[in-house]
Amino acid sequence: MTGFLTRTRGKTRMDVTDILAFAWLILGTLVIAIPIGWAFLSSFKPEAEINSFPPTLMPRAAETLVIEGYDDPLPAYAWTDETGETRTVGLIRRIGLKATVVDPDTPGERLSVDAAAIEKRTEIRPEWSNYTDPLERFAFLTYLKNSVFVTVVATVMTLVLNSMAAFALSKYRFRGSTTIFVLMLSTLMLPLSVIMVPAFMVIVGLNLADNLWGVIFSTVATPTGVFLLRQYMLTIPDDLIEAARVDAASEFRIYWRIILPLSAPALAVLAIFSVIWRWNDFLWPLIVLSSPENYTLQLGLNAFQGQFTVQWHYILSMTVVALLPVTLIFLFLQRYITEGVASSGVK
Amino acid sequence: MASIRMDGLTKAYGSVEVIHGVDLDIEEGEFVALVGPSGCGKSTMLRMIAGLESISRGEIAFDGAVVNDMTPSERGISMVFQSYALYPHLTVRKNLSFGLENLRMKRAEIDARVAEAARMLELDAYLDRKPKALSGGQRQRVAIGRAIVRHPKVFLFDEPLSNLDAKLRVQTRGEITRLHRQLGTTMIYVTHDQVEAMTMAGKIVVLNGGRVEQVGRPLDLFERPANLFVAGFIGSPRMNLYDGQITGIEGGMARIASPETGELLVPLGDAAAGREVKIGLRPSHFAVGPEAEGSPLMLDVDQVESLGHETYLHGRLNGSQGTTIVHVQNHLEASPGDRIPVRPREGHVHLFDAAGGQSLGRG
Repeated sequence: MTGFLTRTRGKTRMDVTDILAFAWLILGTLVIAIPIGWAFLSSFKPEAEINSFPPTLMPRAAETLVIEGYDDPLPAYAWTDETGETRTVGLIRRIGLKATVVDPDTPGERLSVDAAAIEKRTEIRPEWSNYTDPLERFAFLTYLKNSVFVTVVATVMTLVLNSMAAFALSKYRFRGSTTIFVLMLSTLMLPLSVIMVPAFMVIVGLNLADNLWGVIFSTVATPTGVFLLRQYMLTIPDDLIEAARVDAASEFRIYWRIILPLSAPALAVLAIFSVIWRWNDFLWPLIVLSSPENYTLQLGLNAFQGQFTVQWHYILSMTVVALLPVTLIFLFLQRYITEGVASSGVK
Repeated sequence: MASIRMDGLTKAYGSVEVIHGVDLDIEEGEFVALVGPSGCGKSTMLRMIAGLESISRGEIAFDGAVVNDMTPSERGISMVFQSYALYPHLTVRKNLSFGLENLRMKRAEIDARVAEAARMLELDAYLDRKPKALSGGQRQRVAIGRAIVRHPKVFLFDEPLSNLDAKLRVQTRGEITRLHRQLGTTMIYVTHDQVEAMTMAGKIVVLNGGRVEQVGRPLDLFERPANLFVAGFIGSPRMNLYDGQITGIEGGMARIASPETGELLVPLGDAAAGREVKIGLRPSHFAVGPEAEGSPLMLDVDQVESLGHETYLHGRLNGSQGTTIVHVQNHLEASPGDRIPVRPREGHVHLFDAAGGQSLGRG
């Protein structure tokens, strides 16, 4: 690992290209990683802390003191008195330039001090309620279940459907195969916003509005997937298919037993893409789904964003939760992604 | 086992015809080699027999039953591909049993057949390996094994040895002929290498440009090539060919003159004087040195290739331009620049029509 990371283009010394390459890579990493890191750290901050200026890095919360004679814990402050000695005191109230504090050692005595002489004491403390509150109050599990259902079913269907199309387009010679392929690819150039309305009308016509299947069906056939798999399958020698035909295999068996296993790297890439697409999908589920019990996680997150207030602490914490599955999948399958992308010749 | 009959077999891609009406009979249990230069249509023909390529016109019959519209498995053939086409994701055992599983054979029967093929081809130790972990020769044997387990009526080989090194090729050649003796199955073997065809086949079909040039036993093709193409294709090094003309007929013997070979007398019944001919002399059909003492033919030696037990002389006959190759048994002491007397051996002079190329006879 270190050997890989410190590999240089020059024999022993750092070359100028090495410096440029590392600078570029570090910059790219920072650009990608900083927002994620900020979101992660901020998801543990109390609501007020997120909006505080100057922004803080770590999630901090005010320290409190439990002092005899006071029902609630008092916020802890550091007080520097006239002699320059610093003591921890509990703040009772602050009015104008004066503050009333109490020393925990002498709970009966109230001191009136300069407001400028005291400073709030904070400690690094994650705000777990950001995570636990939404899990309790907000139908997180329903959204999670819907998201998992959409992602898994859509991915399985994407793999099956697209690999069948790719098999036909790569291994059968028939009149119009190129036309079909080009037509399929040309749909890549149509953004969702163009076909949104007609696609929605089809879903309504099929009685699938506000139904998870309505989200699934319209996304399973992806030209990107067909293209990726077709390019990969073109590299599988035709001899194998002919050998299987001589071996009395039916066309479906050739697809199932020969083509699919040999396309595993490309299928893994498509599976990862599909999981990421479906998991992060927002606009299309937003259009199709209307009742909250059908919401996916991404739609659920949107509920924290009202017309007048945005509950950033909940949005951030639930975003971190929503990121986890995709991150885990990527961690485990990244070898296949790089292999598959490299071997299918698609970038 | 099956006999195969081809009748006017034609293959066309659009308007381009690549096989022009081939008629061929292959008997039950025969080992037939389809041989020809690349692009002669031999592989296409094999694939048509296999059922991997459609038949444009004509028909193929196995044991008298037309199989034109049958799938490869219905025809009961198995095929060894040039690339072996082993399933890379399956173990050797799975590679062998895949075809049997497709036929919904019983597990016990499958295991027995795989074991039998593995024993026959000495693959027992590799059954659980993937093809990637095998050497070229082992892969080749797996490919043959995959063909054997199905107990096919006809074995088809598409240049199976071209990916092996020279030593392994000789060894595998022997194994395939042994297999043929053992199984007695009809085998059709495609190759561009005439040595393979000569050493293995019981019958050779020489193809050129989608047409059959000659069919016959290996030795027949060598000794009595039907035309210039076969004469040039069969035999290594190739036959020396010279332009000549029939200058006269004397008592059933044609007198032939050529700048290279001088005058030759060949028994030729119906030749007409003045006819342009090609004279063919195989390198091994020359008497050289002391044996040819007194011959008017002289070879100007340009190059000597001595292999110890045999010698090839490259040179020019009678000061002409074209190269002549002469093969001598045993070592012959000669060096470039020598002039050595040579004489064509009687009975081994081939004559071909210069225009059409067909054989006129031998003498």
